[in-house]
Amino acid sequence: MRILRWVMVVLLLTTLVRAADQAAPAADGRTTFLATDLFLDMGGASLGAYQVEVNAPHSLLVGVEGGALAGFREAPIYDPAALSHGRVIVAAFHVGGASPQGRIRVARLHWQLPAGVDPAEITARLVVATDAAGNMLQPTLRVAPFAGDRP
Amino acid sequence: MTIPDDHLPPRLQDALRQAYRTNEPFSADRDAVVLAAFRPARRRWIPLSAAAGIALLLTGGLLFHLASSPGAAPAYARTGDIRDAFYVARELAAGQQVAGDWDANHDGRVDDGDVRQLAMLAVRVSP
Repeated sequence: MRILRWVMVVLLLTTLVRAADQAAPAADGRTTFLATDLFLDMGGASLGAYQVEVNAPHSLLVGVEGGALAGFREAPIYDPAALSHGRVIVAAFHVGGASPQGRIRVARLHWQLPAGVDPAEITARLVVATDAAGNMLQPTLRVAPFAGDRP
Repeated sequence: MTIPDDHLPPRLQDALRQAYRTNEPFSADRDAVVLAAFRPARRRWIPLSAAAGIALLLTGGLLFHLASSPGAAPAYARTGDIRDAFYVARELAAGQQVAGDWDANHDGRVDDGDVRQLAMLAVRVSP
């Protein structure tokens, strides 16, 4: 019984060390982490729902956060299978209450970039956006590296 | 193909006229009888056609009124993207009856679980 317990502890420690080695940025700069913000410029229209596809062919998605304004603060809906991959579809909608207008940060995505990967490779495509009543809109989508805490 | 009469030999033309000659000339009375027999039937169709047209107009007007009245749910066609979940969420929030074919998780009712299911279908990246 005691031997089994020791074996389990060793296995657990080995797993933890391996996970930490993969996730943490290497000291020699082989791996970097980057957060990118998705902005929708709604102009005078209010945002009811959106869906955006993001592609980062040589990077790995490691986290998804929500946006900055009421109705879109929670993390958008995405397929967990997209984690550790380079393609993700994020979407969110807001029912009830006032919908945000103007330039809205709708999501923040966290990426792990291997050495030599240009962050500019991360591109996004607006699949659909609607107002609160479900009418189609054509807001401008912009992807920008996270540049500090600002809405 | 029609061949003009003057292309036929005169004897053949005469023979044909003889063959189809009628012994009883049509009189003006016969025309009147035929017309009299036809007119009542034609008159019967006029009110029937008018009634059918009015019924068609009334039905169309009623359907248009129902579709454009404020309380009527607008027709929505599935898109496969987040609009499906958004549509069902809006309908549920408004207390509207949602059609059973939106029961995405097949639990026998349309509720928030179906909204989540539809949203997940919209963002799915795995096969």
